[in-house]
Amino acid sequence: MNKHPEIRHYLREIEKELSDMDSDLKKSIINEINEHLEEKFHFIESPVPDSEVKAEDVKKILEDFGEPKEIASEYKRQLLDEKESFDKRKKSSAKVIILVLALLVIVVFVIIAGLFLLGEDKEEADSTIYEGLGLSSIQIGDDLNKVLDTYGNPEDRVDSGNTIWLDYREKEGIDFLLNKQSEEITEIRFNPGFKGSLKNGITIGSMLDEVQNLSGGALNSTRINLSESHDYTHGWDRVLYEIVDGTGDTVSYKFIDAKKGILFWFDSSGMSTQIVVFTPF
Amino acid sequence: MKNVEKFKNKLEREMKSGFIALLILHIISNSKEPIYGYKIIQEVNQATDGKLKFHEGTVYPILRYLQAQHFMKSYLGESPTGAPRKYYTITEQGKAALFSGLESWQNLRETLSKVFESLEVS
Repeated sequence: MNKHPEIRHYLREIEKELSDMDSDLKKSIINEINEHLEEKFHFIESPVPDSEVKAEDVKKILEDFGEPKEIASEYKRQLLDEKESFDKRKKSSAKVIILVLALLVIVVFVIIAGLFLLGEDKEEADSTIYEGLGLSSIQIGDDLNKVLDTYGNPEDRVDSGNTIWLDYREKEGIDFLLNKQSEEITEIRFNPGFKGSLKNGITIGSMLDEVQNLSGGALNSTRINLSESHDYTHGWDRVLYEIVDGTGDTVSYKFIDAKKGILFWFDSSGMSTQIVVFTPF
Repeated sequence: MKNVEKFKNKLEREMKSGFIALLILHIISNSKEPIYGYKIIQEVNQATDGKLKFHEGTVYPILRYLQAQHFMKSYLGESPTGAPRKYYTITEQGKAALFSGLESWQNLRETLSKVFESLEVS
């Protein structure tokens, strides 16, 4: 603190006037004023010792600086402006933050909605089986790369004779047969686990009667005894095969509609276990 | 008459405060080196030939305000008096504020001249 009692008294007066102010701020203001007054004293004190500093000089310095009440009031006024400005900035910042958050929520919502809709589209697009074609995303005639690009590496791959078999049954409920030379899809097979159906609603799990009804019924039916033959070439146009074992019990059913490029496998109870799409003939 | 005196004081205080703030920015902007409070006050007196009557203590709250607006930066440096001095330098925002303030001042002066040109103050 200042060594001059008049100055100390003066500073105390200002401090009193600033009594409602934050103590750190008040301290900083008093220091600031004290520094200024020290500075002024330095210029008048230099040539004379402390004891010889005239009372008039001190009085003049304090008069030049202003009445404690006036100075305190000016600090309050300027700091109020500063506070208002700070509050405005704070409010403005709060508004910006709210706006940004609102935009963020909208963007996130749009993204989620987009993904949801895309997902729905994708699901719808990829879940509809088109007879003689496949799915909208992958169809008969597409090449190996398309399969790999669409589904990634298969769970299993078997190269046999003139055929490549790619298995995605566990993940997708689908497997593919491709021509080894052309590497083009010749058959797409939909298995349990595939979440989709034909446009008429037939899906894995549909019953034989329902499939027959929706397909216009079998034009021909034949029975194959596995102990005698594995020959399924008894016709292609809406032909129903009943496959029996050596004891005559039904093992499965196969219904083929070659003109539409589709066939169905059913278990012994008549429930569809596989739908195969191929090029119509 | 007391009211007139009060009005005059209020008017002067408000006008001075704005003018001194502008002058401070001008002084700091033109200073070739960082400048401290006491020196700023001396420069204000010098620039106005001592005609602008103001209490030195009123400058410091303005300096605080200008700094709070980021128009100036300050740092504590050495001083021959022993206690560290607070030195001020202007910022880019401060330069913009000075330019904008001078424009306002110019416009105000022109407007006031037009409005009061017919009035003579004795």
